[in-house]
Amino acid sequence: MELDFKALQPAEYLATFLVSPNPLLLFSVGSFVQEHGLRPDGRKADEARPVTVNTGSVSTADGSALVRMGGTLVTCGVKAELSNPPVESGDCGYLVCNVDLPPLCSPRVTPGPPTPRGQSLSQHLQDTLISCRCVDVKDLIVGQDNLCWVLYLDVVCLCDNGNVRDAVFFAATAALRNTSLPTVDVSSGSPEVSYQQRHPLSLPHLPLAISYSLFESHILLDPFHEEEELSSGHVSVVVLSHLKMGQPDCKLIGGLTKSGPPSLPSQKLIELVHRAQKRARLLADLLLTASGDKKT
Amino acid sequence: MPDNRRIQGPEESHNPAVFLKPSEKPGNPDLLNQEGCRIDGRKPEEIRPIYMKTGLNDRASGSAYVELGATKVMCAVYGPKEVPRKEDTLLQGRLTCEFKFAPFSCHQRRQHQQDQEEKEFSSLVVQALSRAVRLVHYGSSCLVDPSLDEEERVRDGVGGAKGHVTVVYLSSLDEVTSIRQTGCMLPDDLMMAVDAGIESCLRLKHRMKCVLCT
Repeated sequence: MELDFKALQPAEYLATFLVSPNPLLLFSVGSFVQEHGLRPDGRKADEARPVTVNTGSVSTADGSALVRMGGTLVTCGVKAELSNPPVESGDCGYLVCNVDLPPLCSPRVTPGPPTPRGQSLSQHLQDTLISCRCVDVKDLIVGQDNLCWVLYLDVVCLCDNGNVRDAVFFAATAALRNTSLPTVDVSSGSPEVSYQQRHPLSLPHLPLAISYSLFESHILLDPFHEEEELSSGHVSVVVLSHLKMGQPDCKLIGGLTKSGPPSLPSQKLIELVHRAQKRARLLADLLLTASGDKKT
Repeated sequence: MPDNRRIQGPEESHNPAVFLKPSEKPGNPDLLNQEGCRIDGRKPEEIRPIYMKTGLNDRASGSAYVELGATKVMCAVYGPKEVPRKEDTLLQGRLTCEFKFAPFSCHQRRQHQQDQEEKEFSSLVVQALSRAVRLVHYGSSCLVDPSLDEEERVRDGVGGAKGHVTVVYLSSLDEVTSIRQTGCMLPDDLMMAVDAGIESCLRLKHRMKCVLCT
């Protein structure tokens, strides 16, 4: 009976869970949580699913990570290759990001070239990493000669259960932190690579995405795939995290997108940004623990 | 060929392993040392540790994750679905498979588009519908479940390797559904490899039963 209702009227099914007794509470500043409303998986509107991260398990990659956010599973690998620097700006390397949503991840994906959704995720990740100087391409130059590193950052979604954007950014961040480049010695004319001596990448700060979906009058953190499909609008905040005296500091905002109805008052948007900074701090702490760098 | 739907890097980039220091290059030892052990210390008929888990992908009708040593493979099954085009309607169902290496999963970075090797693996899975055991044939012994280094040595023809044999075996019917062999070897060597493959399939079947029945 319940499954019939869910299949025939999915939006009403979700709304029944989220209904709040006092509609005036919905947009008032400071009362983000719907006191009586829960989502179908038992979470409150501002509660996220459990996150696990595992780094360095792909031996063929220079850096790798596997991230699980609830049912969404995403893996990222970084491979470094050598090339000549670009002609236009001769003193930097390359960073090439691609996000792949294969047929493995969802029943809605068919084999073929990347969909607009995949392309938009790739472009968002690439633009954020370059424009926020998360990876400084000037550091990818090797020696004084015409040689540079090309970092190929490939993210593959293994299971799409909603909120792929957050998982993609977290996996990319974790993989970059895990990446180490072999040392290249150019003193003898031709390059000599040493795999035994490796050095980590210089990463001033790293991006973490926190997404919300706007369903009717509710704002849901970390939506799963059914909530995402039923939502009319989305908000994504990219927070930049860097280490300050061994602890993560998440104050800078590296990107904000808000699309679709309903429109939000600016105070509400600022509140979402503050919440995103707090969540980014939790994710950054988790990453620190996973990479073994946490100092207590 | 420029792919407009993906972010492109430079036209040409090289695997740093090409410029590896001479002191760090592998010495190209034989596939089997004097004691009859392989590079990683295994006996010729030994398989690497296996880890299997089902149900990790909750969007799929069924899914499995398998680790064989350091090799990691994820599979998801979706369906049954309607055929996308009316002219493809058949009286019986159809199984399709798409196999893809992740770009970072091999020593040499893979392209995003499916190449010939991946298309061949896809059709092999479709034909076989079963687990397969890869063998490397070396001299008079078979190396079951070759690691990536061993496969590369076979491909490069060093260390005395003769070729590759892949055997697909249906244990409940005691039938070999498909054999794929590359390289040069005598028919006797080929039959020895097939026998070794069947034995390893039976061991894998026992392991799979333990995982699926718990």
